[in-house]
Amino acid sequence: MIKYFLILTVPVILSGCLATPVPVVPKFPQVADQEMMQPCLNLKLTPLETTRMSDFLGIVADNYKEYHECRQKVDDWIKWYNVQKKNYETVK
Amino acid sequence: MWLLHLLPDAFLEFIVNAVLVLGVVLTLLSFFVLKYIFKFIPPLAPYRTPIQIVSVAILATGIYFKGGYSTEMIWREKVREVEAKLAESEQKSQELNTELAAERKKKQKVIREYAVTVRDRIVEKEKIINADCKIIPEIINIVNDAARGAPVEK
Repeated sequence: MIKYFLILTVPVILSGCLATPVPVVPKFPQVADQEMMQPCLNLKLTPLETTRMSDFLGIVADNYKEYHECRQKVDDWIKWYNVQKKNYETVK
Repeated sequence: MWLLHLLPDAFLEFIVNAVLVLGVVLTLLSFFVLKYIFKFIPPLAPYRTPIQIVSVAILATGIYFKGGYSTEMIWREKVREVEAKLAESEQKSQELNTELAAERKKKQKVIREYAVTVRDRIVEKEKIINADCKIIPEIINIVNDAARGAPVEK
């Protein structure tokens, strides 16, 4: 009887070594510049009553500026992602 | 084993070791010493097997707790390591964010300043620009359509 009891205790003893993993969750990094969270603006439209070439050109130039700002934002997001990813990988 | 998280390390270690030592002592006694003692007290002889079972149960409990405790300590150490690394990483992430934001502000300033110089040039050359060029609604419509872009679902 004692022999069977001894055999039965082995799995019970071994189950003591089973670990309950403690979850450690890293915080998702936040963007410092909140302007980066804003979507790109729509391009300006030229009013139909425009007759002067300089006014028309002004709107085109504004739209180019808008494009450059938006492109910069996308470039910044790519850089932010790469930098944060590299930093995150150091934790492993 | 998750219950072990709630107890302080020193207290936990004491309990675990106490149960283990008690189990070892009782098992040794029940298997090797009691039979000699019970020769002098024959009425107690039938209790030998139950005492052995209880001793082995206590020993098994002790070993179980010792294994659980050791695993728990290894985990706690790992968690401490990961938490330290995470804290360092979060700190670095903040610094990188600040650097990137500063860099971004600089670039944005350059883009905006340049746009102002282009605007100034248009004002400067206004007379020449407006002298020969005529804007007709067809041009405006085409440019506006280009600015609106294709109707893409968002």
